[in-house]
Amino acid sequence: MSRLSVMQPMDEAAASGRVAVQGCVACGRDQYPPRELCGVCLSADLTWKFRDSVDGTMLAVSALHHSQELEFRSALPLGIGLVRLDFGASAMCFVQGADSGARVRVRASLDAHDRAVLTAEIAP
Amino acid sequence: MLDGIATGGASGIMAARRAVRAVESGDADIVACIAGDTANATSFRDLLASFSVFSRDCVYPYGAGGPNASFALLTDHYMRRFGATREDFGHLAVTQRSNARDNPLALLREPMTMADYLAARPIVTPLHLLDCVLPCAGGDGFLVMTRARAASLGLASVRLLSSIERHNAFPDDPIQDRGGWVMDREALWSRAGVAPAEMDVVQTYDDYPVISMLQFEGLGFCPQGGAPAFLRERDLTVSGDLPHNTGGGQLSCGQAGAAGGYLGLVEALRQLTGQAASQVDRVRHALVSGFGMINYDRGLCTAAAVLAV
Repeated sequence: MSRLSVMQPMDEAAASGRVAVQGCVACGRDQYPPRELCGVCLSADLTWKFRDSVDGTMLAVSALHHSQELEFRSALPLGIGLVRLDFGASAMCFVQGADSGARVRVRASLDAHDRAVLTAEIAP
Repeated sequence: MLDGIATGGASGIMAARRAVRAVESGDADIVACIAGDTANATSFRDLLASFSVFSRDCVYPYGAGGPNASFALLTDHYMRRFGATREDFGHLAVTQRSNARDNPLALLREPMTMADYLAARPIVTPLHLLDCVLPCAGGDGFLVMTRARAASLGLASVRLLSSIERHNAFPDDPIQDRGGWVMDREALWSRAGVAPAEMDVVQTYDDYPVISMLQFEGLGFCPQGGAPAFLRERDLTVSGDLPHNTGGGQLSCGQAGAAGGYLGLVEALRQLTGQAASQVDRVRHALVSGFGMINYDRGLCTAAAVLAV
């Protein structure tokens, strides 16, 4: 299975260090993960907004100790977490130094496979 | 007619509900509800990489395969919010392993102590190896028909007193710490005409122990967040005061795809008809619960059924 094509704007934005946020034109809700329809009103009229970063609150954190992908094994244990983004969606992110409850700033970058990945750091 | 029900861990109860309606309406005389899966290294690798579309695009790139990381995060949240400890989850895992001891169909039957549970290697903290369901090959199934027909065929049977199902409950919860059972439990118990305390056996969907806790809470055995304290005071073994996952559950039997969503229902049928490997004395009522299809960060559907002899 190949990556969903609706991920492409996120991947392209991440190439220049920006976060692409998918929003619904019909009801105004922003959503994550990106998808073909609005998760609230089912409209297909979706648009993209481009941000340098998005802020949120860390909901939960975890240390990944096992991965089936060799590229991750030298980095284990690896910090991951779930962030409640201020626009009202929850996102899994790499986490650097932020514990549950912390205010965080989330940025996007490209991984070795040219996929957008999100990283959360303590908000300044 | 042939129908497929893609609701994973809730599919056993949902299959039973549809089958009962088909028999009641006269569309079918006998419905066979079956589920199963194969398991090999290649299919396991693909499953981890593409557990769902969201998971493939927005979980797997973080190094995390399958649903482990999503459940780790909601377990971490549950522990912080409600004060649950690893020992609380271990209480479920250890007693289920004890219940599996005499079940020839369980993959994991060797004795397990709390020390064994706590010493297991970390997978995605706070989840360790013995918190994670084991994928396997296998199948499960049951037949639905009128009681008169079952009697004429010489088959042991049970009654479905009441059942519920719910999809996409609480989509605005930031992180899952409750399920759709909360919205439907009143209907479940009032239609069944019995109460949680009258259940002789309880079969929860146990891909990870925290999900069993959400079911005890959601189905009214204790308030939200109260499962650790409630379960700490109870003996969950087949000879205890609240026999739970009496065949060992998925944590002992493994998860053969959607057959994992049939395991609790089939074990309840065995208990109610006196055919269980570890038979509980005088089983009159059984509760079965299901939880299906984790999609990115939460399970999409819930189900439960009350069965009687």
